[in-house]
Amino acid sequence: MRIPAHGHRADISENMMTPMIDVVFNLLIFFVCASALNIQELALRADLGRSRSEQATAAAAIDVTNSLPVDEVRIELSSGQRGQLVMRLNGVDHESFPALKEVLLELAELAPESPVVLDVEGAVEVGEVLRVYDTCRAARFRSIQFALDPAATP
Amino acid sequence: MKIPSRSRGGGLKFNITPMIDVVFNLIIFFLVASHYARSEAVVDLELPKATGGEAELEQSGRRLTITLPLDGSVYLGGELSSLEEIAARLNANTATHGAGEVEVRIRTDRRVPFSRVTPLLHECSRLGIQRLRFAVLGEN
Repeated sequence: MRIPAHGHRADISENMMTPMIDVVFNLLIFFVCASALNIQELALRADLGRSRSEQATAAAAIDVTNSLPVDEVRIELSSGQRGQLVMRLNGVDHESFPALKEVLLELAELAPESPVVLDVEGAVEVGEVLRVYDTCRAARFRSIQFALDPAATP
Repeated sequence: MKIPSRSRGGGLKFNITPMIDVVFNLIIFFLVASHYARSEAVVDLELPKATGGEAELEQSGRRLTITLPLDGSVYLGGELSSLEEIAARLNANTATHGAGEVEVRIRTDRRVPFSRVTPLLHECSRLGIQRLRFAVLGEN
């Protein structure tokens, strides 16, 4: 008696599906792993200018909102008594980062050629410094420099 | 006469699917293992975030990568180093290629105090190196 081939063909197609699913799952895992592990690191340009004795030229306290544009935008970052970040722009304290950002954007719109000097106290975290630096760049100031104390040269 | 059976005549079928499975599994294993091996070597680093970061397409041979983890150590190109060694290397590179060609890339944990970066800035400034980059992650 001839056994109908119907059931046999169904077995073959089932058997063929399993390895294909295996391969597809492996491909899926491969691409998930590859994409998840590859966090792209970017580079923030911070080109240095020519050195000069920055500490000797401390800007006088100016009320920025009343005297725009200014010759120099001096941002002082320091740590407060409770460890909080103290941000001072041309002698005026700014409570929050958005407030400082707003003033910086205003200043950059009026006088993008004004040189920005970042005077940072040693205890301030690099993340905070780069956040302010990045904001200055985003505001399109043409010159942003770090103030270095010549006396603190290693 | 013995007629050869059909099943034997077909011979062994070589199924490459399990081999592909195994190869893929090996690739995934090495991918994951190398990632963990690398992160152990470079120490745990939480890079600062910035919106102005740019992808670096060109690989400059005159670039020095300095890593500053939170534990106070300093790495030069992935190897444990000191500020003196870094200064000497910067000096040598500047003398060989010229200050304009040397690029310094600082990879620092975002919680590191700025006082640890200042000596590097001093050294770059002293040698006339202007091309400075900070490694950051995108904001998104």
